Amino acid sequence: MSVIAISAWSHCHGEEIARRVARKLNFRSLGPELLGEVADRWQLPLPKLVAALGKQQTLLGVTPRERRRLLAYLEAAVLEKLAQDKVVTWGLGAHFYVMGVSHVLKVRLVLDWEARVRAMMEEGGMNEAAAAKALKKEDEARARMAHEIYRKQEDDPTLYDLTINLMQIDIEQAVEIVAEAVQHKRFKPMTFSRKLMKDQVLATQVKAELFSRHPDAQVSADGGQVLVTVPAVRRDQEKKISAVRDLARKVKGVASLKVEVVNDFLEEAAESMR
Amino acid sequence: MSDTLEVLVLDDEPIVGKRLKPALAKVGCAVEVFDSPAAALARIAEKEFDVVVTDIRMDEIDGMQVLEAVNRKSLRTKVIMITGYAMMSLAREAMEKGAFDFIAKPFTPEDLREVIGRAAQALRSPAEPPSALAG
Repeated sequence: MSVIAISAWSHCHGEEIARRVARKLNFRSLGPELLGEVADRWQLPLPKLVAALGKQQTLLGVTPRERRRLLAYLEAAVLEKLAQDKVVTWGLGAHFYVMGVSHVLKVRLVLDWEARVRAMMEEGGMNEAAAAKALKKEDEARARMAHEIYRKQEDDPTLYDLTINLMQIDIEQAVEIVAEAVQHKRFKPMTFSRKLMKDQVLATQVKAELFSRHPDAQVSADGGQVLVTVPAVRRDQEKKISAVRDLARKVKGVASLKVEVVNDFLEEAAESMR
Repeated sequence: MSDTLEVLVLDDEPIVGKRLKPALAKVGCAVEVFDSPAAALARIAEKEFDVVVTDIRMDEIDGMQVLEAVNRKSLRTKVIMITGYAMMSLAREAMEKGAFDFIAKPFTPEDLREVIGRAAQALRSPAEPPSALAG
């Protein structure tokens, strides 16, 4: 069976619609409650993980490198769940990293600014100005995350299979539309899409395993064959290959491993100036 | 349905059919191999196969046309599309038009045997109820 990834700004009924679609189709729903599990599994600070997704802000913020690290773990955990099929996911940014997988129906929900501000006022007991300010800050943080990590604009309609305007379509109808759309033959899993998903699961797991020591590693997988490309200065290349091998081999599902090293010109230049 | 699965393999690269024929024959399939889409279509017009395995990108006639021709002949036949140019839009189009499965090249004979095994199972199971949504 297929997977549904729902994307929406906050206060656009994303969670409600995702949960109702999941109930209707007897799919599992996978939302931000997973963040706690991810934090426990890799011993990550939960507030930072939430902030990395562009949700709430922490006092000191999240550096780009930290964000990449935290999201590498999150992606690995989310993809592992999505590979089990019959899942409706929201609030985890999954639509960014399942772009090419044909059996994932990507849905964008939109609601106008005034309605979102009203929802924020009710939820947070704020006046209109405070709610608008908080919402704007939240949207900016999310947009920054999307650009920084995925080089995408989250509200670009070409990223989605279906966009629903909740000013014109009510929640009940939106649930019906999504549940109906995913049953089209074009969203059925096939050998090609399952393999893509499996390859992505493996690549993200290797990436998560490598991240703390090799944050610049690029990882791809093709049917159990994993390719890691990592920058290193000339004299450290052999050592780096061996270190990457030791870590990547720990990941279940790695049948063969190739490590390619590219010259780290920046580090070499920095060393020559020291 | 007899125990032998009647399979037609079409790929304009002759090496593909040459490799797949013995691999499928080994699991009890009766395999006819074609490297010309026109000749394959002529054969499809005269015989109802259980499974058709077709490449998508071919010179004169593409795999989507073959899929449509098979559907016109028999909706029972399971069509498996194979391609070296796999893209999400193409995969979705094939499924929408009624392909049973879509496989990206390169694949192993074992991969294909697994898919054909599922096709055989689907042929044995009762037909799915028609759906207004399904293509």
